[in-house]
Amino acid sequence: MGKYFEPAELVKFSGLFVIAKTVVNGFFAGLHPGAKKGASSDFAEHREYAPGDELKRLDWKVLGKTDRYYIKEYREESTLNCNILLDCSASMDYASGQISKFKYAVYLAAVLSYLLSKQHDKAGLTAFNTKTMEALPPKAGKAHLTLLLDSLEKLKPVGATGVAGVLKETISRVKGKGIYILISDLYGEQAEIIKQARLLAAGKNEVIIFQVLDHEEINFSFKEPQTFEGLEDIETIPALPDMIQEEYKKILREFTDGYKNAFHGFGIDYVLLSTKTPLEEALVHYLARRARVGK
Amino acid sequence: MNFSFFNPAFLYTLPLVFIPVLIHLFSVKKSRVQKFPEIKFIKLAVKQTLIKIRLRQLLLLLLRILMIIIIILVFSRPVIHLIKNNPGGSEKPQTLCLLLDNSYSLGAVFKNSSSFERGKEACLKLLASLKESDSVSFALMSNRVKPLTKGFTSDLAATAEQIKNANLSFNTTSVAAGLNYGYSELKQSPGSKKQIIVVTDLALHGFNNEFKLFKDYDRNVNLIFVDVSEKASNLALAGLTASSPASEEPVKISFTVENYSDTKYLKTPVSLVMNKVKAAYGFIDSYPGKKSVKNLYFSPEKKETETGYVRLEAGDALAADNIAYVTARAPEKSRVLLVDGDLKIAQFQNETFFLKLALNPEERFFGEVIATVCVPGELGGKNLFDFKAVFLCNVESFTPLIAAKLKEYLGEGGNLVYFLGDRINAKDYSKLEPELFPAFISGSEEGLFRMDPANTSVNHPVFRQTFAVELAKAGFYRHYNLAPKKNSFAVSSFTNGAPFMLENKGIKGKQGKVVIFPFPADREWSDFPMRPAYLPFVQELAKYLTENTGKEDTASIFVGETFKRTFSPAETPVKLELTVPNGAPVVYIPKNNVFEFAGTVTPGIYTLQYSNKKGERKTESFAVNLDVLSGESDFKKQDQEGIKRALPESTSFFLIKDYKNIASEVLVLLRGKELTRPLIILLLLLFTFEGILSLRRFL
Repeated sequence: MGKYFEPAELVKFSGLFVIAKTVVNGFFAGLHPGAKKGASSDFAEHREYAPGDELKRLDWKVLGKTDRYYIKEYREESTLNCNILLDCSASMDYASGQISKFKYAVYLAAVLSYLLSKQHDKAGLTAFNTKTMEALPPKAGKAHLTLLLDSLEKLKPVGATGVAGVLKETISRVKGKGIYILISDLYGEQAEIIKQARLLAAGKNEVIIFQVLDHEEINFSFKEPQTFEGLEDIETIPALPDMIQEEYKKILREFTDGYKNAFHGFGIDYVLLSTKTPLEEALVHYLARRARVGK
Repeated sequence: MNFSFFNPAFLYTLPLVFIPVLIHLFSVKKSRVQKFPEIKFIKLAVKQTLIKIRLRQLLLLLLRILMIIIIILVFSRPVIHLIKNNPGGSEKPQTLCLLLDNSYSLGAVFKNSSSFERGKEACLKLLASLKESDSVSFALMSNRVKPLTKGFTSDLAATAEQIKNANLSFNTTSVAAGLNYGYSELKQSPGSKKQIIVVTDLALHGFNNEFKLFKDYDRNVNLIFVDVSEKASNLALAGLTASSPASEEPVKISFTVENYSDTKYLKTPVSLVMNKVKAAYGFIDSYPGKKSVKNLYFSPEKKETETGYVRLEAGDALAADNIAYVTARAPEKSRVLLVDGDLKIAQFQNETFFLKLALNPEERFFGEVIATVCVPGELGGKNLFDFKAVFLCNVESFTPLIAAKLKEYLGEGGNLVYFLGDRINAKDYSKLEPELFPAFISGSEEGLFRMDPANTSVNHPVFRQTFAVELAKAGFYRHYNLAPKKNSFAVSSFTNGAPFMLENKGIKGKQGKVVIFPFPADREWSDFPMRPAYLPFVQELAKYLTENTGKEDTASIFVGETFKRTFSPAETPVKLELTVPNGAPVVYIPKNNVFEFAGTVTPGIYTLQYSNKKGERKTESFAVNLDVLSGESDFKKQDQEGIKRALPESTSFFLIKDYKNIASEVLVLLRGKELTRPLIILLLLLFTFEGILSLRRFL
């Protein structure tokens, strides 16, 4: 097993459920309720017997009590295809504390993969900067999980960001329906990113977006005058952080609120995460919300 | 307003203000390079906050420059001078003319101390704060200025002694008189810093007169008024007069009580003391800002003069004006001479019969006029100066001797009345000099004529008291036609336009009045004597002619006025004795039949005793009172604006309302106010502000 999976963590997350928002066709498998009803251990409802129904599905107890013919129907368990899209651009390498945005994103991806694997869902991984760096198609099973985690471990943040391009590419590759989890700082052309994310969600896919930002990126609490240099470009700008802090926070809030408002109503779940937010807490918060949406 | 500095050398460090400018211009802070994921937001934030940053930096720069300026100023110890014309810093010697108001209103008591005492205290405090190099002149100020130092002196101890011994006067305030004195005193002083300090109660009326007419006005002299008054209420007795309608009746003492306060005084006791005996008493109600009239009566003791006073028992702030003195003479009868040009055996047929009856109705009424009748031939032997008026009734003509005698009498204040009848020689009359007979006679008219009220000067004293309508009922069957000469005018006319009564005008000096009627005083040409209007008309005519005939009304004068007594040559004494209130008799010798006395400094009864040439011992008295109606008893104060209006433009003056702090306030004015303390406070505030601005994200 990889270093990301402490047994304690496994126990903690096993009590929660990732609940898909849209109903996928197929049968129930694991804990996800499917849209189709069929032969399964999860009772759904009673239906009057019709000629051609299998006799073994007849509810004999009801027949005995009421002298009526009812068929017992069960939910079919489905298998979920989950693609984790991980931003590996240089801007993700920023760390004001011990943990960089990238590391945080990798942890999140690993936890999600494990969770999916435990639920017998299929987990895939697409690591990208401007183009796809690593792509693992969604598969179930421990062996695939191990492969996935190994891949995660080997990834290094480098190059510019191309979230919109990767989303576009993903849309072109989509087969069937599934969950797409994007973990990124979402820098880049905001309008284009929003457009592509909406397109992805429009194909009845469930899209979940985690925007990971460093604590300092959000609060901008530098004290001394600084010359800021971009991680993805070579431009610099001198600034008095205490003077521009409020303005910067306002601009950043507008940026994140832009995403939040744009995704709201398009079936896209958007969660802003700071690198100081405990990973568990972020996941607990998210999964709980997911469960509420599913009911 | 100008500035001086205790340590002006520090001002040479003023170029230090460029330090923050240089720091701002040349300090470039080295900044650390900080890698950051996305700098486009930072760029945007910098762009949007650039103006605020620049403003803040500019504000900081200004603050720091200001702080350096203030630090330099604190060390150089600036002094602000509120009064102008105060050159040479605060250490140069001052020349002060100190005027202490000692008018009687300063006697107003508030909490056991009078305004005058407070004024003295203020003057002493001020004196104690002066330096030895300063020189001061001190005078008491009222409508008469009384200098107590000889010019300017640096002997402050001796001046302080003079102030301690200063006394209140009974005079009224005149700030103009004080300032006039101050300006002329300071004109002779060589000093450069000249101030007049007026310690006063700022009585409103003290600013009334002649403020623009200072003889030695100098705009470089600063005026400092110090108000030592306190709010107080006051009642004052005023307008005291004694009158007696007839000798048999009691004398009426009438007076007014002026209430110069905001409160009403009810049932205030008032008493009249005559000849040291309480003669009458009463109570009076007075209301704020109003005057109340009261009469008290007493029966005279037949003395030559009865003297006394009225006292108001009011618990007000000022006691001096609650007493007023009065002298009452036994009524003096006026004597008139009636010259009858047509004397008959039957008395009632006489020309002057009705006139005499109307002037002095004897048993029927008490008359104030004593009429003596004579014929024209007796005129030469009569001393006309014994009479206040001579009535010439139907006198045919005048010999040049008589005409000259009449003219002399007229010139000395005697009055002439002509009643023209059928016996007169009209030509001779017309030829008389205009002063003696200011009209031409041009024949007579017959018919029925009446006086025309519409053509009568109803404001004339004779007609004012008489009903002109009643007069108009009298029928005249004949009258002379009079044409006024240049020096006369028709007071009243007949319905046909001819003059009814003619009087001389443009009277010069002591010259008396001349009145002409173009008809006789008896019933010959008219039914006038039978009419009810005849008696009051003649009485008013006599009153008009006999009043104020040159003799001074000296019964009552105000404090400070000169008493003047003119004697007739027959009465002029060789010497006389004057006794002032609470004083011993002092002998004076009258000059040219006139006795003048200017030392009426105290209110009270002044008594004059002398022996006339006949050897008769005479006693006369006159009362000297406070001039209450001048406004001195009114505690209304002049305000800053009023003082400004009263003074010549461009006069620099200051008003100190807090007399307790006179020393410090005057010192601030004279020597300026050091600004170090307020500057330090300002500096601390600026430090705080600068700290907040530079440490916190203020903008």
